[in-house]
Amino acid sequence: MRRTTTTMTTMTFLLAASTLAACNWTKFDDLADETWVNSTGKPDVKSADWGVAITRGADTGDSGASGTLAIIGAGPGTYSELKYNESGSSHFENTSLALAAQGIMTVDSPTIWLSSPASSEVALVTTGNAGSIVVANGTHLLSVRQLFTTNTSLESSATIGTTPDAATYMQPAEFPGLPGITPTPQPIVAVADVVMGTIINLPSNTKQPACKLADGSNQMQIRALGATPGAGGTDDVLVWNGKDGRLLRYDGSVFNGCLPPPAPQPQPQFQPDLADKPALLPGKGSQILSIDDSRVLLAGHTDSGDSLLQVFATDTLKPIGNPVTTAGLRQAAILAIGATSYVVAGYPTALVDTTVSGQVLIYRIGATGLETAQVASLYDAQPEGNQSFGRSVAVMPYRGKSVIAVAADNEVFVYFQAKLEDGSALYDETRQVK
Amino acid sequence: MQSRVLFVVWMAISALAIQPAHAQPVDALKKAQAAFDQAQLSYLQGKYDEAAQGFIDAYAARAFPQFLYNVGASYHMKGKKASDPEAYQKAVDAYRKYLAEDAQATDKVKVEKAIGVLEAEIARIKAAPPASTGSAADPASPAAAPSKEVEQLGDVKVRGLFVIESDPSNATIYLDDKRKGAFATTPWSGTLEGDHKVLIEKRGYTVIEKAISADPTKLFVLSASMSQQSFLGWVEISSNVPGADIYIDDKSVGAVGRTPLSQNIKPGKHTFWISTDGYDEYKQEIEVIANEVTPIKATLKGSPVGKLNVTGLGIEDATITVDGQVLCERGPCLKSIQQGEHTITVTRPGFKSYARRIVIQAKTETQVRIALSPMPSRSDAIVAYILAAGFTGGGVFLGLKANSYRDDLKKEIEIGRPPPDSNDPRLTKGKIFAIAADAAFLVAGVTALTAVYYTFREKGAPSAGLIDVRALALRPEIGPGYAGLGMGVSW
Repeated sequence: MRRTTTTMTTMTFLLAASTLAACNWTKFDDLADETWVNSTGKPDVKSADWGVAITRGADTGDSGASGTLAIIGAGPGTYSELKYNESGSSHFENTSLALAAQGIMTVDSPTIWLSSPASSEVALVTTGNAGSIVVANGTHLLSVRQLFTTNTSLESSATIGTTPDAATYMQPAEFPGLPGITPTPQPIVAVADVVMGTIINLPSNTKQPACKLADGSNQMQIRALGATPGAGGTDDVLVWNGKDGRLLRYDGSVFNGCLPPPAPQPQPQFQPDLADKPALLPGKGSQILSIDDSRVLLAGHTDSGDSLLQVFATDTLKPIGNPVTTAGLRQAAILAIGATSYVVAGYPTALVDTTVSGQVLIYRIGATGLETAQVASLYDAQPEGNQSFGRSVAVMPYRGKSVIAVAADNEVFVYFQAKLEDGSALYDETRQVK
Repeated sequence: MQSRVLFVVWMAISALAIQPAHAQPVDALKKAQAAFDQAQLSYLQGKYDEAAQGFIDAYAARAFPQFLYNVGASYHMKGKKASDPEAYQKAVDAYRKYLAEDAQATDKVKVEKAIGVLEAEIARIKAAPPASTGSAADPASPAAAPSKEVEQLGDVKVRGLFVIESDPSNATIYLDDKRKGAFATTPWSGTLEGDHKVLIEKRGYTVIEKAISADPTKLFVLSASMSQQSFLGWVEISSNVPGADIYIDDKSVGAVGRTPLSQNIKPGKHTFWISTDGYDEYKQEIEVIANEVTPIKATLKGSPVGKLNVTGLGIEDATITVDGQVLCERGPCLKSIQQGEHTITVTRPGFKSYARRIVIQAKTETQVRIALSPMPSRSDAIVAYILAAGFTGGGVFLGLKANSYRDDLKKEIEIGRPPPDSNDPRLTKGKIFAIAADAAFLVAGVTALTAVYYTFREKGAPSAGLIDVRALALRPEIGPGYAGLGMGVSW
């Protein structure tokens, strides 16, 4: 009896102790849900280098209660869509595709990966085969079109390369061969000093319009293209010249008139209306980002890593405020929170503590230009070497708001909250709180 | 094998062991002692005639039969040394007188044999032809050498004597322990050897207690002069079952003697307990009056008890309990217990305890031979406990680690600079640590339960007991110098 009592007491004690001491490991799942940074690793795609470029896959109107990121992987190239539900969980849409299956054998680095300002359309511009440039665009899918540079309105009057240097969406004028049809914003592609249109459904025997740009006697090497509202409902085109670093503006209404059908026009020489010279000769992958109708941000870098963030006025083409020249910039995006705009700039080789893992710096854009001290910084809480955090950044519409998305090596981060350096909110919780 | 257990109760001893009282003057005793000492010295020097005369003188002073034996022994040795038929004849005469004086002599057979041998030797010597060149005492002649029978008797030694006398006489003598019962009454003479405590008691007189060291070759006289104590009372305690233990006033001091017992006692009220195995205890409170005899006659009634006899190898280190009460601190244990069902438990350090319910029947002896099995090694349990402790410690360590991750993550999520992401490796690590901690606790629990099982499980052969029941019976016991009632059991 005594022995039985002792045994029962010991067993009860052990069970109680085990119960008390047991760790509730599901709390870590709860923590994973609680954290407001969603991290998604490479899905089951063939790309060894997934996430070289990201952009929003759905615009504000299309996102509804969710958000979508369109992601390009390299080696070999893949396209995939990552959709975030209202609670912030993500899943991959079944629209993923291997770019090679679409005839896209090369994903350029840096990758030109655009999103339309007027729809959920995205566009990949990269080097094609057989002397072509591939423009693959669509909404939640990619339709591949080859742009043979010899098959443009310039025809043999200009020697055009086959590797794109820059691209942007612009609102073109009504195409002469398609009267009554107001075209939607279309990507235009720059190669050296030539800008080519990518207008769909041109009449037969009509070649894509192409314009050779000029800046007087200055040499022209287009490194970045941008669009800003011009006269007549079309966008004017902004060009950042890699030869002299000048920002140029061209009348967008003539971009479809460079080649009025049926016969080509004489080669026009466009002079910039206004120009100024930033303190940087931009390299490939530089950007001209629209802040609003009157301002753009030049986000550029050289091959050696020199970088520039500078706000410019679109009318005077003069810089506003001081530049940010923190080295290592790779890509930037504009985040609008209410009336305030911010620059989200990715520095994938930045040092975090003692680890080269990369970070994203956020600068506020004030009335007097860019605040040169970052208001926030994002980096991996557990940084890893060569993580390339910030090698691509995007602003993703999500549940009617905008959130920051950051690409790293084979990983994508989405920030459903963000805090400024002073601890206040850059933006509050965007997820639906249960 | 046959074993015999005797429970002897002396019914009467006085008439068998008491020598006749011979009140003699003190100077006679001294004279006898002086003659004895001189005679013994002469004997040792080979002066047998002088020795014999000394013992005769001692006998003349105090007529102790042992002195006559010593006279015979002296002549015996003289005859043997010289093949002297006259000396042999004197020896025979002295031996015969010794036997006549002490009809209860314990060496009667031996002395009678010596008489026969010496008479034959006398006849042989007388029948032998006289030697031409020598006398009959010539050792070189065939008749001069002692016969083979005489040689076989060996050299005879004179005896000492222990004498206990008292004034007044007829006092009771106790030897060593009063509980052994009365030894004799004064006067007493006989042979004693070794150290003893002599207690002499007589109604109305002070008790004499004396430690002695007896030499069997010497004459030792213990003479007790007892002074009268008129203020004492005298109790005479007897029981229908002789040999019962007697307790007076305080049982814790132990039994003062056994029935029958007579002794002085202070006047006043006294409590007497009389008990023996197999009987109910007798208790009586009596007012003892000075200078008067108070008889106490206890009638013991048989009680339904049986004996429990616990034996076995190593039982001397075991404790025996019955119904939870310690019966014997150490074995072997032979005790009377009430008939009925009892639980006997035998425990010994380092051994498995033995417990068994047994039925004790009245007037029987239940023998339990215990074979205790050694306690098995608990090393497996110890190892299991160590493992359980190790797993518990590991679980605690892992749990603390998991909690550390959890706390860090919660804090960073709250602060948000930098915020951990949903794929933060600490989430995975913390979960792994938490699961590992739970697994460790689980294994620790299972291991601990195993250890508990190992601790309490029966391992090895259990301790065993062989039970044998024998009937007990009372029967009369009669022997030399005593008569009594005994109870024994045989198997």
